[in-house]
Amino acid sequence: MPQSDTHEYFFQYHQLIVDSYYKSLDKVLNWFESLREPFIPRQVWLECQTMLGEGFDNVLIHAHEKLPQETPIEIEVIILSQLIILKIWDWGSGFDMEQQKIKVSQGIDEYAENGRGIHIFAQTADHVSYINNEKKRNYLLIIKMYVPLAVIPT
Amino acid sequence: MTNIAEIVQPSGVLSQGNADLLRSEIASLLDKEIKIILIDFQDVTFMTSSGIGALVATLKEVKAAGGKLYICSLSEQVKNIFELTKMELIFKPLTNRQEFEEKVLTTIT
Repeated sequence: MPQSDTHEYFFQYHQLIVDSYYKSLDKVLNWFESLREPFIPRQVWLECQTMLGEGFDNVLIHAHEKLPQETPIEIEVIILSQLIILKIWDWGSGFDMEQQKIKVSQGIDEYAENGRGIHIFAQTADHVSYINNEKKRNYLLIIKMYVPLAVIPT
Repeated sequence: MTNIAEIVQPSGVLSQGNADLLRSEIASLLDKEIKIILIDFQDVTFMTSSGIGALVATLKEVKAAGGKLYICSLSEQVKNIFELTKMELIFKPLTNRQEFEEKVLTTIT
């Protein structure tokens, strides 16, 4: 098999747990940057980074708003040969994302001060949903497809 | 003579935890009667839509005070979020400080 095809059956699983504190986002972003593989196009990675930031902010603004700073936020990144899966777990009371999607699809005021997060997911992700679990944790699921770049062996 | 233009240069990650600091920094410039404000994003490595929300709020405040708000030097990710939210149509980002000086400052002096 030529070396440029070594990512054909690629599978990587990564997990990070951080506190519910806005500065933890620096840590999340640095960690995510270190996971990047050369066959993932730059624009795809950038969009995943943007969605990760949105998902993290949403946990702080909504899900963990009234919870202590020590409440963990768990992030899972699964990299497959043509897919990137992001999961962001929270301990909040959950919300109806489908309802929000409908609202946002009707258009948002360009001078509005919030409500852009879901619009960003809708535009960037191939799939986005929020899984509510009354007894345990909830998670935001983001799936992004990509066409791998041919990596020239050095 | 007092300045009528000021440059603000935030740094690092702009998210829900600190975006309002930028907003209040600019509000304090408006209190000092500064009418032309440039936010130089060259040191901002990452921004969430909370940052966009704070910028929109700031823009409204600057306009209400009869001022003008400019932004420049967007990093790759900041440019990405501006495009995704169509904010580049509202803010019309400048390439860098030099463009601000040439296009904006020269017209007021």
